Amino acid sequence: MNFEKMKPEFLKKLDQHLLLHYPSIWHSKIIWTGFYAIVAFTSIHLLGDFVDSEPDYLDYVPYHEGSDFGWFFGLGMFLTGLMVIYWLYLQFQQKIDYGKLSFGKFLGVLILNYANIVLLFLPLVAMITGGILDLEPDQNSAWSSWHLVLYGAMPLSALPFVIRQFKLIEMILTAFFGFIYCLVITLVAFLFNGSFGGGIMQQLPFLYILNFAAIGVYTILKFSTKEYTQQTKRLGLLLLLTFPMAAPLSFFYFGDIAVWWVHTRVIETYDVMAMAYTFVVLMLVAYAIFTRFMYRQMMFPGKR
Amino acid sequence: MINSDLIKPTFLKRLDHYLLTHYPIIWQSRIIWVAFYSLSLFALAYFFGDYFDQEPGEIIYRDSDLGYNYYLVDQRDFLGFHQIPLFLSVLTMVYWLYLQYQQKINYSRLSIGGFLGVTLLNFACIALLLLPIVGLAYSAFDVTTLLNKALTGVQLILTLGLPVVMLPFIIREFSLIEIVLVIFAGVVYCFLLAIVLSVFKVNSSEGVLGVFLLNFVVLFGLVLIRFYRKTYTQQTKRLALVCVLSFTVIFPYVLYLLDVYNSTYQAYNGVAHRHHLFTLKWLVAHILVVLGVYGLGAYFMYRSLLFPIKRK
Repeated sequence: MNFEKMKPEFLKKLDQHLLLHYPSIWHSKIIWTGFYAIVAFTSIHLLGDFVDSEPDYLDYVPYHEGSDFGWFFGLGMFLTGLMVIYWLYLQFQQKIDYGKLSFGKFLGVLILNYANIVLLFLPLVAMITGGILDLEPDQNSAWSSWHLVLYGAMPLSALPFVIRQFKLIEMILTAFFGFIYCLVITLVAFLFNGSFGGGIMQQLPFLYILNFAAIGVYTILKFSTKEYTQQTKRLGLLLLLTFPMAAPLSFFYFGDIAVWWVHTRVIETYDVMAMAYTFVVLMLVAYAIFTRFMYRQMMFPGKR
Repeated sequence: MINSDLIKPTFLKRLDHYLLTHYPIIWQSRIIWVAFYSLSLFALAYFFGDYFDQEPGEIIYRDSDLGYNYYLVDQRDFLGFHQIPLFLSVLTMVYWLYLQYQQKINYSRLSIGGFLGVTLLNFACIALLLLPIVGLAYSAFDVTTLLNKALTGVQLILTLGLPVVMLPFIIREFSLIEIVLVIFAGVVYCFLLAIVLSVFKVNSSEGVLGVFLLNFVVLFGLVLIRFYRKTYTQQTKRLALVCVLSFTVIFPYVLYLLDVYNSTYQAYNGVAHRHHLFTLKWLVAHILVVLGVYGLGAYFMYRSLLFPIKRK
């Protein structure tokens, strides 16, 4: 299919301008994801209500309001996931050199990547505002999926920096072994449950944080002395992928912020949202620091 | 990496070597090692899984009846003992496919029977990879509803994931991103079709599925003619991939048309449903027939792809 015909002329010119003057912005393809997000959001918002089913539409057709969530939101999530894979593939293909970027610019590119992924998912929100999801429980679960997207997009936006270091099957196997590792920790904790007075299963998050910290320190040491091997890189990938799970865990574990919020005042939704979004920004900065460190260490040949 | 050679029993290594020299096609499917790992994991999960899970007994809601309380406690195991292992088992399937992809196997000397045999062998591998999940389900879920829910998940993946048995024959024709984009375009196509139909007030599942089947038949016919005349391009191959991947989804509707089921609802319940777990009817209609079709399809497609193309 020829996509060129759908692209507006002024965006093509802007694209050309970016390519010549700001190649790092051009690489991220933000113009086209933004264009897609606006068009898709508007069309779903305006037209979505005409094609879905309504809650009062009950004439024994197996396609009623309840299945709107699965068919529109679930399928939309799946398709957007595939689009994210394609976007990652484009980043992978471009062989971009991030080596000359200062920290600020590196953070900028990371945030740009993040914006790209979030923009790809944005049209799904139009299903809530546009009236495809008419019932409140559906809308609530759509919102919580949206918040999951905000967290899940973080490791994905850091991936373009390191993706060229790994084969695809390597990433799949790394994810696989990460899961197995966590499973083994759980089983070991369970076996020693008796010796700790039976309460060790409640301490499981703490065990995970300890492991995460230990692996983190080990990987950073190896990278800073440039004694890393492919195995160390894989550990680094594992850290990148699991950070959005480990960070909030440790945040709530050590800071007891959640308890503090409950005790000092009644939680307003607005406060929680503000806290969550601040947290996203903080984590993105942490991502930029770690990824830039890893990238720069991997750029020059390692002393083996 | 861990040296996995140490845990392999010697007699299996010998058998493996024997297969490599005498039956390379069987060796290539890695059925021995798949079976070895799966059966060991199955045994571990089946016999020891019960020590690690939560036992129903705790009363959470005093007002509700005992069964519902049991259900709530047992349900806590669902993520750790079913959903995550199922996801991991799907990852092992991806790894198995990758091994098949890497081996550059030459199937050209196989007869139709050979193709059917390899398809069956591939199916055995897939089924074995899912086996530990079944063992885990039996040991971890004490409430029947949850056990059936878990088994339904396994059955669903097995039935709809059947295209995986045919992929090793044709996977080398596509790059990975091509496969992703083909799936994307295929789903979008069906989605748009469904939306257009709903605008024209075709809402019944029979109507929508009928149109889907019509589309499938037209596409399939086109692919068949192109391959038969050897005037195919890469686009035709992609269409063929769409047909391969969507066949398991549309096939239950064909079963309904053939009067195997009385309604489309029943036909799709036949794919996976808690009241029809691994029945004989399911095995014959949804597995063996589909495997036969895939075997023949693989034979036809592989042969057509083998010889150079006549282009005008």
